[in-house]
Amino acid sequence: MAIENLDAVRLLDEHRHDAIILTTMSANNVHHGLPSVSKNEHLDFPMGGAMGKASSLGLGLALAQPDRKVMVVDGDGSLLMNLGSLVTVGNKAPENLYHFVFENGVYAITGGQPVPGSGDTNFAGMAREAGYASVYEIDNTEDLATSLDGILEQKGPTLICLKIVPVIENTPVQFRDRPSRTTQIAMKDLQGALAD
Amino acid sequence: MQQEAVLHPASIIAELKKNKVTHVVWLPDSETNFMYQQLTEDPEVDLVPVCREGETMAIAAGLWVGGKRPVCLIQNTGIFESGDSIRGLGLDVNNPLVMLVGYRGWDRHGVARDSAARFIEHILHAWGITYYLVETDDDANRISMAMEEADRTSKPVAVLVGTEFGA
Amino acid sequence: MIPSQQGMQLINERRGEALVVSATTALREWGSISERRDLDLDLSDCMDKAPGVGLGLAIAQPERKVLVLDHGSVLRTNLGSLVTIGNAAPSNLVHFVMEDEDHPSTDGLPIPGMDNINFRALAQDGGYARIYQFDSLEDLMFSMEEVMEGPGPTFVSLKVYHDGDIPAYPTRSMADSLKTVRESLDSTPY
Ligand SMILES: Cc1ncc(C[n+]2csc(CCOP(=O)(O)OP(=O)(O)O)c2C)c(N)n1
Ligand SMILES: [Mg+2]
Repeated sequence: MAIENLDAVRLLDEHRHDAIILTTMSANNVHHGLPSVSKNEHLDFPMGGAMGKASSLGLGLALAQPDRKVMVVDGDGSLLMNLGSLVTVGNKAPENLYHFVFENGVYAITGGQPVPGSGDTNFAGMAREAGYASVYEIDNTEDLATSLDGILEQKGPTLICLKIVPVIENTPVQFRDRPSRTTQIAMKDLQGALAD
Repeated sequence: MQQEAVLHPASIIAELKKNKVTHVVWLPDSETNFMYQQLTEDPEVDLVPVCREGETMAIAAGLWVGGKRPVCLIQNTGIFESGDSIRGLGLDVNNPLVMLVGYRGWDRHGVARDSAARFIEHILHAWGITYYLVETDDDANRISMAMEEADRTSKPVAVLVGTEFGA
Repeated sequence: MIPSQQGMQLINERRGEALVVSATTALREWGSISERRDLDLDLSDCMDKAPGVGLGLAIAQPERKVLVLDHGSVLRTNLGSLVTIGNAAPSNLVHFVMEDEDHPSTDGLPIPGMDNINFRALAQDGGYARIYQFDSLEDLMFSMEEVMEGPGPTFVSLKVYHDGDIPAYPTRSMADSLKTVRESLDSTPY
């Protein structure tokens, strides 16, 4: 079983309240990621570039904004590239950080090649050992819908590993649709929203 | 929009085989995805997938010391990620490593907008790493030139794969 | 706790023809203990990459054992290597990690919160075939044969301390050690 990419981001947006959501990779896709459904664009941080650094960036945001929840939506290949960040986050232990991983088993954006250890790596187990306060694994839409509020009520840092159906990109990069806002503009917007 | 195919996986793989490459240590990217299928199916070259590009030079160094002939296959963004490994496990230990590099943002018609493209050649210059550009099947033999140069100089050499898509 | 140099001595006695990649504090001790320097790779630089170099060697030399003598202080900056190795699954690789109670790499200063990473669990989740932890020399001695002979990739955490000074880094360069091992393996250039 697995959750559709679009359903997952829609649910995250529906249950966010005033949380910042930082998305990368498939979660950040203009067609089936958060930018295609978000009703709270001013609190979105669509991260382009710097593969793997969403968790670190989210940690910075969470430390800067302790009274606000920060939801990071990471890719599995991306998290593998910065696996040490689990320890960095676990060590600093921000209570307001919720780290979602879209475990689709592949590098979807670059053509669907399997990530190392695809299907065998236990991200939730690793996060628990690294010091996250709680960890979850969810593989169907219904469970995600019913458990999200409860998860976000608990203190973090929390890792939520979601089994996601991969949406594989085969369009050459130069022909892909660009987001309506560049990362720089989105960052400015978010800075403004947080300053209000 | 469909681009005419100009660089085919077969020509690159033929070059790798001509040079007796045994292992491709890699992290995928869109620029070199077109080779994935054929590389995985090829019994003569072994793929070693990694989590992070900085690992590729280390694994390649181990393969080289152990008597194999590896190449790395990563994106230009991965070169930025790997700075310390290229220095320590490439340049400093005389590793004749050929790095095949997907040239994200490559644009032969003008100034590249993507900073991954704008910086890559400067970075290679700064390290004194020579590079060859491969865009079409006709260029593929530059991989052999890179291999020869890496062996002759005992230094890493880059091959930038700046291509439109092949089928 | 295992007196670090005695642990190394034991590995030295049991290594046979194994190739050994060592880094940081482990390299400093190993360099003065090993009796087969012709089969040792010294990672005196890029020290967090010992697992990667070990993996490459293990793939290139499947008939030979490859031992990585790693240290918690550098493994924590390259945790993804545990998944890379788990995925490549070389059966001839044994990855020793010194977990040190005196933090020699940071002049004795612990880094708050960073010194109790459960590497064993991470290696397990990353896909290693066998996981061990030893905190006494007797236990290590007793199990060494099993550790060395069983199918890998094998992860071995050693809880160590240092009695006495830690030797300096070996004088030969990293490049020299690579060259030496290449020659020992008689790896003709392709
Ligand atoms: C340092 C670096 N290496 C490689 C790339 C190429 N790249 C872009 S997206 C991507 C795959 C991302 O995979 P994952 O995080 O699993 O997200 P998914 O595409 O599956 O949503 C890769 C390898 C990059 N952008 N940066
Ligand atoms: Mg993925």
